[in-house]
Parts: sequence; structure tokens; C-alpha cells
Amino acid sequence: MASPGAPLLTGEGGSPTAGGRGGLSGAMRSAAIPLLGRLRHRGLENPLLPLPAVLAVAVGFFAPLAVLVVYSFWPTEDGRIVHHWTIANYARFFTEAAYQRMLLRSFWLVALASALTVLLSFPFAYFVAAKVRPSRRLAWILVAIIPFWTSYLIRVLAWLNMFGDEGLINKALTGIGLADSPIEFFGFGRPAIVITFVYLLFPLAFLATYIAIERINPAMMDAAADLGARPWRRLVTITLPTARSGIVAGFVFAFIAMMGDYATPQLIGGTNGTLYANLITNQFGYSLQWGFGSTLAVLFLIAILLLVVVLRLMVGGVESAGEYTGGFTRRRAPFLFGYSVLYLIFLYTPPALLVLLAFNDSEETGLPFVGFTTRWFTEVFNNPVLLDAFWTSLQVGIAAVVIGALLGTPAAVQIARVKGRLRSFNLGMISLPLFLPPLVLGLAIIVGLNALGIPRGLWTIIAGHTILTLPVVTLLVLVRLEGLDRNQETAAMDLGARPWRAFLTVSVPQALPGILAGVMIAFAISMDEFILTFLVTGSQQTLPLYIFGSLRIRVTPDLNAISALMLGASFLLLTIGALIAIGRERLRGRERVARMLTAENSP
Amino acid sequence: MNTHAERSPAALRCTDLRIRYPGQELYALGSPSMGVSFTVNRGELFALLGPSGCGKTTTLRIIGGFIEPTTGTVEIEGVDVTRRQPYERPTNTVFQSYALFPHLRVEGNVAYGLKMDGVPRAERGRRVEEALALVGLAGMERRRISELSGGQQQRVALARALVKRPAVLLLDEPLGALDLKVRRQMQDELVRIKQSTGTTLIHVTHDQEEACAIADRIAVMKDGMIAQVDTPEALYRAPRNCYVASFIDAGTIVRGRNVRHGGAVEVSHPDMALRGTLPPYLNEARSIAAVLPRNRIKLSVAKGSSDQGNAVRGTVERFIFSGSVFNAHVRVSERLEVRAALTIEEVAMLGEENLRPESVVALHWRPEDIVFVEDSEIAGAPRGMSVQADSLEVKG
Repeated sequence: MASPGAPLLTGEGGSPTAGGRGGLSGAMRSAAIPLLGRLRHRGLENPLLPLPAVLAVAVGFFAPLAVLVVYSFWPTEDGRIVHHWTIANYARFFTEAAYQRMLLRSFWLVALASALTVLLSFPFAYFVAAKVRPSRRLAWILVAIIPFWTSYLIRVLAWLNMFGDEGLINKALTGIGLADSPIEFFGFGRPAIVITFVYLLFPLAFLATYIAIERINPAMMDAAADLGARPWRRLVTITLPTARSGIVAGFVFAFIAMMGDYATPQLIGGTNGTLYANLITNQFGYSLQWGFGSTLAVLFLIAILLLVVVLRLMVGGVESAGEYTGGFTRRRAPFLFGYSVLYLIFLYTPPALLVLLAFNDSEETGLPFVGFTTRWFTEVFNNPVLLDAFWTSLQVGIAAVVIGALLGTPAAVQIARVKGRLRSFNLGMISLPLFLPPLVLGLAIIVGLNALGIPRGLWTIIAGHTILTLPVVTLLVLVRLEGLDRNQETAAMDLGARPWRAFLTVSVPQALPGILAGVMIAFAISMDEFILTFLVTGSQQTLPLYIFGSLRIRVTPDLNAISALMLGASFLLLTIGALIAIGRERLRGRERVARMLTAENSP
Repeated sequence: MNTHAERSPAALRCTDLRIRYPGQELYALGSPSMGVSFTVNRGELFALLGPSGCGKTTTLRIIGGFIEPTTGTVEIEGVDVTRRQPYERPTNTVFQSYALFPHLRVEGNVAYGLKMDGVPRAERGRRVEEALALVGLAGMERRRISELSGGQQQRVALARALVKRPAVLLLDEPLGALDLKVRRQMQDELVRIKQSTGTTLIHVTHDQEEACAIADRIAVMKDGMIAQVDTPEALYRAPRNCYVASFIDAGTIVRGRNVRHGGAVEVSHPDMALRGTLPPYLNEARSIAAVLPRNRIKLSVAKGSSDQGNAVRGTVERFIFSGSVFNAHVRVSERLEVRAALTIEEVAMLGEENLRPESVVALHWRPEDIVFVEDSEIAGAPRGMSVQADSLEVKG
């Protein structure tokens, strides 16, 4: 900085963080070397690495979104979109109070459900993050998450069994004489939607709050106690304010997911349970009001963005609450423990009942349990339509995950190595699809295809799923790579390894669990995806589509059997994975204890 | 402040503290035969000194109420607080990592404890201002924690603890993360604050220079036990055992066969025999080692004179200038290396060319300068410290 001219000449090209700009200014200086040749020399920091992923999101997400905005300004006449600019669609929304009421009502209902989700999961997250010793936390988390590793629709189905005048809850209540007639609260309607939503979205809220609480430095709690704060005041003055960004993130995630869910209200909402998401999809369904539907979708997006901005302003920025310390309080917490056990019971009851019903030898789904049978399972395996749907799901899942990993991994590798604006841009582009409801993505895709006149098919499902799996794979690999100490690669290079060698021999083996986890989670998401798939499918039927189709007609015992099978499969897979992971964690835990004993205050 | 200062009970009295975690055989603090006990007087700055894992932080956490001891009691100003929660004790802690609340500003952090005590707003503001002025952060009330340097964060943590006027202020290696200059500055400030407020301080550290610079008394800890409690001067003048002598780096430890006649002792090493009178506190000691204090050893250029009782010849191995003194490492034999500290004047008189490596020199000392210590087990020498070659040698 001593001579003002120097940084201009040397600052840009030499800096590895300058990304593409560095390449350009370098090209002007040394035109003798071809641009591509020099980019190749950038190795793992090559700014071209994230390009395919960014392009995929741009083409598969932003372009259709732009078309959606355009469509929102076009009218529909006789079921066909007319290329004629107008604000009539918006005028229609703002002049008819029914639409605004619908949006507001959905907002309130979903906000209530999200708040309840966060509120109910907070004590549990707090217990696991602060009171369970670190070596056992993973087991608790897995036990809490396992019920959610199964299909979204199956979880809805589990509650479908519970609600209604003939549902398990009302039958149980009337059966033991607590109520004379079925209670409306447990029928199909808004309370049922809220309860189901809370159940469906618990993992999101739990994980978001858990991560925030786990990062709270336990020394801070000690400090508060030292300064005279009793447990309750510590919660209010330290834990909640420090974890607030996590709590709000949990709320926002849950809120967005619920706002975009049109399946649950349709299945559980009964006659008055229609929400805004249903209103939107109806425009693209039998109403054939594509223009107005696009308008509703755009307004929906704006409303969600507004909410996020407002919450962000209210909560403020995120202070670093400190790194994960692995600390926990030794003191017992019997009430929290009891609450946590109750919560787990709440989590496990619906799927457990579902499995029970799958073995019930009765044409009617529901209790009483008349006899044990496995015939529903035989029926499942003899159902060609169902097997076909399963096969389609498998194809879609594998294709989407492979493409997602091929695009996402190189992107993550490069993003992990650079800083600056280009990194933020790439990261933002790739991860944005995660933060918008799949409903909007699905609508954007069908609108985009419509604009181009391309018929839908299997490939549109794969493309849609890729947009969903890509950010998941990228972020999980990125998190893993960024968690690694960069000095390790430096050490490898110091020992004679070239950058690529150092990366392959040092970073990749350590990042492998992250890549595998990313691939597995992405596959599970794809297998389970319904909201988007239902919109973008041609004539193909995936497993969730089949289940939804059958659910809409009637809950049949063989649906319970499919669900039981899927539950069993995911349970088995997760348990094996968990056992491996816990085994390792336990070893690490023992080391930790040994370290604690030998060096109580190593920094 | 208190007119009955001498008559009132000690600020802190720890008696027979032991910790043993369930399912573990070893004591994390104390031993089956003895726990950790010590007394701290009012207004005293008491240091717990020892290497990592010696139990000093555990002891501090027991005093603060974060760990309940398996046995023993903690009394503060005569009141037994052993079973009290941290928020019910008149102690406050400055944590190693400061543990400041990142969501509160400087004033919010400092006022936190007063708020918990229900101190009215006006008085709170006044006391926060006062505390911040005391630590040299006047006018920084509205700063965010993330905007502060390490040294400033340290001061906020100190102000946050001091503002509650604790009966005992606990400091858990608070200066460890600071660079040398800031650390020196903070050491001076701790002493100043102690003097101006009359607060009793317990200071945990692994840095013996820091402990000696600021503490009134030091408890040297090892493996969950207190090895010695004394003033810094007394620790240097009369370390009780090899461990203390080596941890505070009192000088060269010479171990050897003991010959004792009543109070007289001779430690005979193959290269030298050190004779003297045992201090009374070592009468019970089973085995005795001798310490040659660094700054009591004189060097002279060897002129062929034979070794006498209080002199020995050796070759200079290393000659190091350490800022204020020169340290000469003189090899007497492959078993023994003696270290001597020389002032700049002494070096000038001897001539630096005579002290280069490989030069032969004579070392001598006055018999009364030899310090005798109990020859404790060296096997448990402090971790992370290089054990001196001379003290590793098998006993004669």
C-alpha cells in the first residue's frame, strides 16, 4: 500500500480470490498464453468448475421463474394463454376480497402451525443439545429423525388414519367413553391440518434450533450463572437471544414448506381446509387459468420474501455464537427428559399404528384389530401398477442424484476454495432453489415448458428433481470440505504432493462421508418428492404419485402395507448407518474423555 | 474497609476438596489420602500454578460452583457455600475464553449481573460506568463485543465480574490468549485493581513468571495435589521438592545418594558432592536432592585448578542472552549439565570470548547457597515440560 500504483498492477492477477476477474485482467497482460490453458492451470480454483451447476439452476429455475412472471401479466382466454400485456390478473386479486382473505388465512394458519412446531420442538432440541452428553447426541438425533426419513405422503397417511369421525382418535375417545359422539376438533379440518403440519415439519424446526443451541458456548451459560442468573433467566437472557437466528430459521423453513404444500390440506383439510396453495394449483388444473395462476404464484413468492425480510430485520444479523464445543451440562433435567420422551412417543405413535393396521385382517382400515394377516403385503407385490411406479421413482431418483452429484461436487470443490463476490454469487445461485417452495419451482417449470411448447415426460421429472437435489449435494459436500483444515493440504504439498494429489489423497477421503450423505439425502428427497412431481409429470407415475392417487379415493389396507414396507426399508437403512456412525462416535467419545482426564484445560 | 479485618474469617477456605467421577478409579482432584486444602486471606492475590491437567481449573470451578466436589467444603468469608449454585455465591469468574455474550453490547454484558440482582437502573448505569473506567474502557459502553480486540474483550470480562463486587474474584487463565505486551499490561492492571478495590483474587495460570509477577502467594499444583503454597520469593528461595524446583525453574537439580547425620546432609553425585544443613521442614523427607540456584553460581575461566568441594569444571555447551541475563549451560559430564545465570557486567568481566561453546570454565558456589529439596518422583514430572537431563539420571 506504500505506493498507490502498485496494487493496481499486482493486486488482481496474483490474488486467488479474484476469481474470473483475475483471469480476465491476466489475459490482457499475457495474451501469449491462451485463456483456456491458463484457466486449466488454476486447478481446483478454476472458476469454470461451478459453471455447469450455476447454468443448470439458471436454465432450470430462473428462466422458468421469469416466464412465470411474464405469464402473470398475460390473460387466459378460453383456456389458452394470450400474449397480451395486462395487469388484469393482479387487479382481479386485489379487487376480490375472497382471494386476499384466502392468502391471509393461509398465512395465519401456517404461521400458527410453524410457531407451534418451533415451540414444541425447542425443549426437545434444547435437551438434546445441552443436556445429552456429546457421545450420545447422534443416537438421540437419529431416533428423532428416523420417522421422518419416510415418505411425506405416508406421514400424512398416518394422520389420515387418526382423524375423521371414524378416525382412530375419535374412535378411541368414544370407545373409552370420554366423548359421546365424535369430536369435531379431531375431524378433518383446520385443526387436523395444523396438527399434521406440526408433525410433518418437526425435523426442520428441530434441526435448525438444535444446531443453534449446540453452538452456544457452555462457558457463556456458566458466566450467566456466575453473574447470578437462575436457570429460567439464563434461558430468557442468553439461550433464546443467542439461538434466535436458528429458531427463526426453523420457523421460516417450516413456514415456506407448509405454504407450498397443497397435498396435506387436500387430504386432511376436509371441506373448509382449502389453503392458498390449493387455490394456485387449481388455476393450473381444471380452472385452466394459467395467467391468473401465475399471478397468484408471484404474489405468493412476494409475500414469502416480505415475511423473510421482515423477520430478518426484526431478528437482526447473526452474531457468531461460537464454534461447536461439545460441552454440555452435567446437571440432570428430569422434566426436560420426560418432555423429550413424550415427544418421541408423539413422533412414533402414528407410524406405529400404521404398521399395526397393515397387518389387520379387515377390509376397512382402522381399528378394531380383527386378526393378523400378511395378505396386504402379498397384494402390494402383485400390483403391477404399483411396481411400475416404484421402478419409475427409482429411475428418477438415480438419474437426479447422479446428475446432481456430477454438477454439484465440482462446484462445491471450487466454492470451498475461494472467497469473494463470485463465491457468494455461485453459492447463492445454487442454493436458492432450497429456499423457495417446490410448488413455485414446479409451476415455473410447467409454465416454461408451455411457453416453449415442449410436452412433459419422464425427463421433466428428472430435471425438476435435479434442481432440488443439486443444492443439497453441493451444500453438504461444501460444508464437509470447509470443515477440513486447509493446512492439511498445505502439509501434503509440503511433503511433495501436487495440488490435485493433495486434494485427492487428503481432502477427498475426509469429504467422502459428506458426499455419501449428500447423495443419500438427495436420493431420499427425490424418492419422496410429490409437490413438484405432481405438477411436472406427463403420464408417468412415481410412487408418491401412485400413493396420492389412491389416497384421494380411499385409504385402503394395501396402502398401509406399502407404507409399512417403506418405513421398514428406511428404518433398516438408517439403523445400519446409525450403528456405524455411533460406533465411530463412541470411539471418539472415549478419546474425548481420555483427553479431558489428561488435559483438563488444554485450549 | 472492615475494621475487624484481622478478626474476621478468611476470604476463602477450601478444605479437603476431592473429585472423583463416577465409574472412574483415579481421582480427578486430590487423592485417597489427601484432598486439596488452602486458605486465602482478604485482599490477597492467590495464584494456582501448574501445568495442564494439574487440577487448577477444576479447583477454580469448584470454588465458582460449576462442579460439586466429591468431598470437602468451600467456605467464603466463613460461610459454607459448597452446595450452593453459582448464582447463589459471592464469587465471580473471568473465564478463559471470556464467555462474553455476543448478543449484548459492552454495557449489556457488564450490567448483566447487576440486572440479575435487581439493581435499579440508575445505580446500574453508574456502576457499569465505574467498572468500565476501572478497567480502562471508559466510553466504550455502546460497542459491540465483536468490535473489540482480545485485550479489550478481556477487560470487559473483568469489568463484568468486578462490577458485582464479588467477595472472591476467580480468574481462569484470563491472560493466556493475549500477546506478551498486552499480557504484561494486564498483569499490572490486575495488581492495580486488587490494590484499589481490595478484592480477593484467585488466579489460575500455567505461567510461573506471570504468577510470580502478580501473586502474593502461589499454590503450585501437580496431578490434582498441591505441592507447595508460598510467596513467590519463598518458592524460589526454598522450594520444598524437586517438582516445585523444576517447575519454577529454580536451578539445576542434582540428585544422588544421601548421607545424613542429624541435620547435616550430603548429596553425592558422581561428579560432585553437595553438603549442607537440612532445613527443619525436610527432616521427614525420605530422599533429598540439591538445587544449584542459577544466579548463585559463579563462573570463572578455568586455570587448571583441581575441583574442590564447592567448585567443578565443565565445558560451555550453550550461551544464551535472554533479554536481561545471560544463561550459560555448562556440561560437567554426560550425566550433569549445570545452568548459571550471569549478569551483563559479569560477562563483560569474564570476557565473552571465554564463554563461547567448547570453552572450559570453572563453576563455584558458596555452600550456603545450595538449596535442599525433597527428592520427589520425577516419573510424574509435569507434562509438556522438558525434563532436565541432569534430573533424569538414575539415583546414585
